[in-house]
Amino acid sequence: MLRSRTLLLACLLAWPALSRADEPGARPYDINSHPLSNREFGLLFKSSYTVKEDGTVWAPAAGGPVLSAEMPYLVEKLVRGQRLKALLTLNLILSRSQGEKHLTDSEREAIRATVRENWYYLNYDTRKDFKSYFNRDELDAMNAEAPLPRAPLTPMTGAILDDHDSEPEAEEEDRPRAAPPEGPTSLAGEPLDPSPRKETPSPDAPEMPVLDLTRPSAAAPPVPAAPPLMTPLALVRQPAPPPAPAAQLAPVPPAQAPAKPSPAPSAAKPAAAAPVPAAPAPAAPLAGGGVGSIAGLPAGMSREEYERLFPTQPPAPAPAPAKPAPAPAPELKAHAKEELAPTALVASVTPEQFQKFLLDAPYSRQVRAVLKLVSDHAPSFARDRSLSLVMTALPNIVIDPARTGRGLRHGIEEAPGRPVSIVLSPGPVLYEKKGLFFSGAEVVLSQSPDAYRDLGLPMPGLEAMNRETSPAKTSASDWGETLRFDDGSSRGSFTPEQQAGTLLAALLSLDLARRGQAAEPFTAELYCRTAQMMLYSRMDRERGSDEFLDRETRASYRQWVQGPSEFRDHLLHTMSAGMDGTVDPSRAGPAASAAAVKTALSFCQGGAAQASSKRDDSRRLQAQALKSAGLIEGRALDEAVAYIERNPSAPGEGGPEACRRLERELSDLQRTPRVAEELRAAELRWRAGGTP
Amino acid sequence: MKLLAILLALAAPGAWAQDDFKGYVPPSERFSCEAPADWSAFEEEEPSGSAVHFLGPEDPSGAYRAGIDVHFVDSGRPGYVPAKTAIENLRRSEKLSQRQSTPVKRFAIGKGLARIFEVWEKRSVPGERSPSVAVALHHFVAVVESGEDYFVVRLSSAEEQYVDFRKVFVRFLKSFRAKG
Repeated sequence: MLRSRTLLLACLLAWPALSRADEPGARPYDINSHPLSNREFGLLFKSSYTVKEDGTVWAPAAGGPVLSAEMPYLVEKLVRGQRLKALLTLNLILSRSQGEKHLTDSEREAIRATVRENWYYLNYDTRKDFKSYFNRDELDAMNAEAPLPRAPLTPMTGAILDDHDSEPEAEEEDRPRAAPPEGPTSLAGEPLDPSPRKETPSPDAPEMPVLDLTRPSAAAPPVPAAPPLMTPLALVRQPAPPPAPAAQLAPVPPAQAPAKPSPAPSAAKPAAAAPVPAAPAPAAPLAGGGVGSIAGLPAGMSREEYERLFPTQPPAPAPAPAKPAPAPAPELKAHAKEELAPTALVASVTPEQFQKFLLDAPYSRQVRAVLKLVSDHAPSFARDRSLSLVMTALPNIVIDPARTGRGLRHGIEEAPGRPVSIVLSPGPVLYEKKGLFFSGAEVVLSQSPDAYRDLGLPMPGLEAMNRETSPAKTSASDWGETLRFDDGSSRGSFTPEQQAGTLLAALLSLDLARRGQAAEPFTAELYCRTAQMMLYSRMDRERGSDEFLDRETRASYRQWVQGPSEFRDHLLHTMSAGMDGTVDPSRAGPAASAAAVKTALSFCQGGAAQASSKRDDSRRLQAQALKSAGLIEGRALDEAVAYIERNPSAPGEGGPEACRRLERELSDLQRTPRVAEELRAAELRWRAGGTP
Repeated sequence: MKLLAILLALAAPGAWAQDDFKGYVPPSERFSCEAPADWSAFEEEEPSGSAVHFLGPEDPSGAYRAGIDVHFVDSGRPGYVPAKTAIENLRRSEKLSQRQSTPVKRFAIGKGLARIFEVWEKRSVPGERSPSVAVALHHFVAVVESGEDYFVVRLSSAEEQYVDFRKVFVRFLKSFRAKG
């Protein structure tokens, strides 16, 4: 009797263990049926875990494989360990340095490398602390690869929410979205939402969609909708491919959900990969809750406990409706890659047409805002030219201080076989050499290395030139929101309104060149700058102030309003000076230009060599100006002059090509009076009526 | 006889022309003048009338080219601004560019009088290209009326050179004759 009772008691005690042995959580984790993401694989390998052929994962020197119930904890532990390691590395670098404001280049690069490598594991606060080490493009790329998950918005109500009942998520990113790659399909054959960015899979990694166990309470990342193809408006747009429908979660099988600890409030787990596949086989529950509804509760767990461990995520957004292709503008011709005939009429662009174009345009949010300002405020004679150029030729328009060349406010990049790029500057660098009794003249500098490489000089070693240097203080000045640095340099910022005028002038300059109407540089520049001033005039009237302009542009604008003849004269006197070198005083004016070109035609190569020597004079004067500003020493100036002599500006093509170029220039010069007449008529209307 | 020769010499417009100056009449034939021989000139139409630009030497830094600009303001054009208002506009002060001007004086030109003054200002030149250096500029300005129409004659240079150009401006003005 006693023996049977003992046996019965032993069985009762052993029963939970035996029953648990049959539970899925107690089985070894099978990586073949529930693959991990590449990051998780990487963490396992770094920690010397091994994956056997049967799919089991073994800890180093462990007696058995990792169980399914243990795997989420293991990954969580590895992620936290990696985060800790990254923070310790950063702390070590900073503690060994002379301070964050005095980092050496190697220390700064080490910090950047560590942060970039571990961006995925860093929480919101840490990312915020180190984001100043990166520029905007780098941050966008890193966030696209490892975006922070959203906090859950609503608690689980118990109702089963259907995907189609949810509102589409608001679009966060302002960068153009690439079409999502053709993603893998689930075992059930249903397409999956692809992740915004996929890492290159390691050779051993399975190709199955991944189960992300590191997102216990993270929402699925927003799924970007594939944008429609970028084509000129005259061509029929292909409809955007509908985004993949949200994956359906299989009901959670009983007794499989692990008791997952709730995440620390400060640790925002970065979202990783695609949601769980809708497989008929029992699937471990998504750490993040995933999309769709979850029916049933794990065995042995109350609803309150489950809600605490797995807060409900907002349902995944319904697939964004494919944007209807905009009605093709009948007036616009598709001239994406063709040379525009000079006599081609300028297509008129309505605000509605351009607004529709902007919705799908491959530009960042900042650039779109600037284009909208151009559309809203440009004078009519310039508006149609500039906007139809944007809509047909689709130039790259970016904001990047490192690519403007000598331009203080904008630069234009042209390369054969590639679309032209208009690069706007976010702001200039300012420097004023301080002396004992007197200060030197203020000099305004470009942040582009090309401006100095052309002179054989390195970039000036000013703190304001380095976008990673922390400013000593920030204050408002005549150059906008200005960052001031300890060495006396400062970095201004241009307002979007100012950039709109700059962009308008750049677009007009391109359009004139495309139409062969830019042969006479003074007339072409006057055309663009007058349109720019008219745009500022409209904004000035709306705002009642011209404070949105930087100092020099404001001085030019006020001169244009109150003394238009002074404005023209000032432009001519500066463009014809050696440092600018745009206008050759010996051939200023259409008649003199034509005479000079005709003379040069008879000596094709001689004409080109003369232009080259003037460019070299300009380069020498630029180097001298840097010396006068105290940015380089006398020896550096000598080296720059020697460099310019060793590397003269390209003399232009010789022989028949030079002659063809001059013939083209001569025929282009004949169009200059038409441009000048158009400008005069527009300005007359403005002066007479007061509105452009 | 001697007196007649002296009077004839004084009456001839180019009587005191030397080798470094030459007579100039623009294609529109609105005026005649004498300008430095090595300066290049061209005429263009403007919304307010027409303009002739004489481009001279640039300053030692190469940032600004001196020159004389003659603007003809046609009273029949839309947006016409009377001479008195134009002078007020030209003499405006501007804190941003540290612009200031001298009082207006009278200057005899042929049978008429011109109103002259000087303007100083500070601008960053070249305005759109790096390196852009703050340069002090100086302008000699004369307004010559011809009925309702008028001419604005301006000699602009870097401030460090303007003293050298004072004689050029005076000679140019003295030789200036409006026609028509």
